[in-house]
Amino acid sequence: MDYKSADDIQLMLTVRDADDHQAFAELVNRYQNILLNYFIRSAVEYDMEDLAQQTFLRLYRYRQNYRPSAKFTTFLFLMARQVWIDELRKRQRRQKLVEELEQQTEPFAAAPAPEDGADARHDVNQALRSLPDKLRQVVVLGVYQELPYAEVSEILGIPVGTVKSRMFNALAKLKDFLLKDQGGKS
Amino acid sequence: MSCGLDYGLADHLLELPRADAENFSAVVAALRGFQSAQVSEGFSDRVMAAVKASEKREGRRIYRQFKPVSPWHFLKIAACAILALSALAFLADRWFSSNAPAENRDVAWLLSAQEPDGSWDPAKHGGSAAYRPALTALSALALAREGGTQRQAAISRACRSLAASQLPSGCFGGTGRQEQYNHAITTFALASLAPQFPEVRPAVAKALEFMRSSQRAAGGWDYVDNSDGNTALTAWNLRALACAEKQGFAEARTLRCRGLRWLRNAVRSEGRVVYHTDSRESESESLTALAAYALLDAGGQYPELERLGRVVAGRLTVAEDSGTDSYRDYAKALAFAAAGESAQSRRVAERLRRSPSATDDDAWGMVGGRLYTSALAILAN
Repeated sequence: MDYKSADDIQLMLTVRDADDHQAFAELVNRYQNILLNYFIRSAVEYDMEDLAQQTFLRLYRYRQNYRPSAKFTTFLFLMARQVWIDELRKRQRRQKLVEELEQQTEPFAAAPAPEDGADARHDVNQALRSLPDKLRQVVVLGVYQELPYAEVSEILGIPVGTVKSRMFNALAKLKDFLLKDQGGKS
Repeated sequence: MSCGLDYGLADHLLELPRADAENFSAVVAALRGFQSAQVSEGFSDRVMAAVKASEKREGRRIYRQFKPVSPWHFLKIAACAILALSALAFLADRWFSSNAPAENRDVAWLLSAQEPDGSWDPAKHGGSAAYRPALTALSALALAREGGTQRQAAISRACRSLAASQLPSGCFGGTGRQEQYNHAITTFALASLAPQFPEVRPAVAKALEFMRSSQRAAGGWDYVDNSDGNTALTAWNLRALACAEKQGFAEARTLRCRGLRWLRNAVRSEGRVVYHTDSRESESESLTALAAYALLDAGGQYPELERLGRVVAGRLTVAEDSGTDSYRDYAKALAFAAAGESAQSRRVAERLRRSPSATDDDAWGMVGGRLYTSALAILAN
């Protein structure tokens, strides 16, 4: 099998049916940066790479559940979303006492290293973080991953109409946030 | 308008009034302008190593080519099973009668897993290659718990490997979080091993220079910007500095005093400890134990810190643990021992010793793999 030229579905079927590590490695190479960016944009503040690794491990563990009727990306992002939800639950389970805060800042608001365009990236990141998770997820999948709305709908378990309305609201909020930010700096 | 299967954002924007479409297109362009984050080097190798290790640990490959078994085959399988069970019973009997302590098994395994260059490679054992210096350091420390010529030679090779991996800045490799944890843990190991292996002293001195340059103004250490320190990393650095101070590295004392001051200020009311002082994060037993140990360890010199350390350690329990977490149990065993609660320390260490070396369910298994569980099981006892 020519792994480089095989499409995602062929590779995933080979993984499913033959536990083929080479096919899986090809999928990892294709999607590692995409998954990393998915977690970054989902407002995961740290351990994004660990979560990407966990997603691939889960993908491999549940390879038998893959059906070619579903797009590979749908299957992958369903896994990624579940990994993130599990991680959040794990953190919540460990919570015994919630700190009383004087100021409600983001705990891990790590500014990027100074570089060209750092300010602009910070603005965009801030804007994304300002969104409620349900709106942010629609943006992450629909804008960054450029998935069709039907696929976004399947991953998030909401009707396509809701994807549309959330996308509209999200873009409107992002526009306001970015415009306000620009106004504040000028 | 009905939405087909390929209907996406571009189609959606076309349906909107012109002003909205133009504004939103600009927002989308701004969002898409920055999507360049890339995984660190060797990520796919680490994933594949974790997949293989996970498969191995599961101990079961799913064989889909199922063929019906004839009665004759069934008899053969049954006979094999009986033989295998008998052999297992025999081996188990020998095993228990020899009363071999689990740490001896871990030591033997660690010796066998050492690489020719003296390091240990976590990626080969279910962990992450990025933490090779830290896992080499922990493995060497674990071997140092007991003497023996073979172990001394292995530790010496490990020390040489760690010193050789040191960069001109004094750090031991990696970026961000990996760099900082690699550095703190490796410095701790080298400072601990300095009495037996004095050739590591120049590497410790260089490592302290890096530690000084990375210490934040408030005295803590962290791997993210805009932070005055995080509790876990600061506690590991304090451990390294305490060791270095005992070995006569004068600079360690100043850095340690500043770090202890940060840690003292980081403890909240009733001894609560979180990762970042200005955050809403929840308490965790690992952090509580690491902080308690660092404070109690300094208690001999600073009685105020001992009192505070006891308050923090008082929040730890033996029974309320959930899930497998060798890192947490190791830190708790240390903290209980430092607080003089030796019975509780032994209970936690014993649980850690009995826990399986497989790391599937361990909270930090993907970082350190079997090297981490084996080394910490030895070091906690």
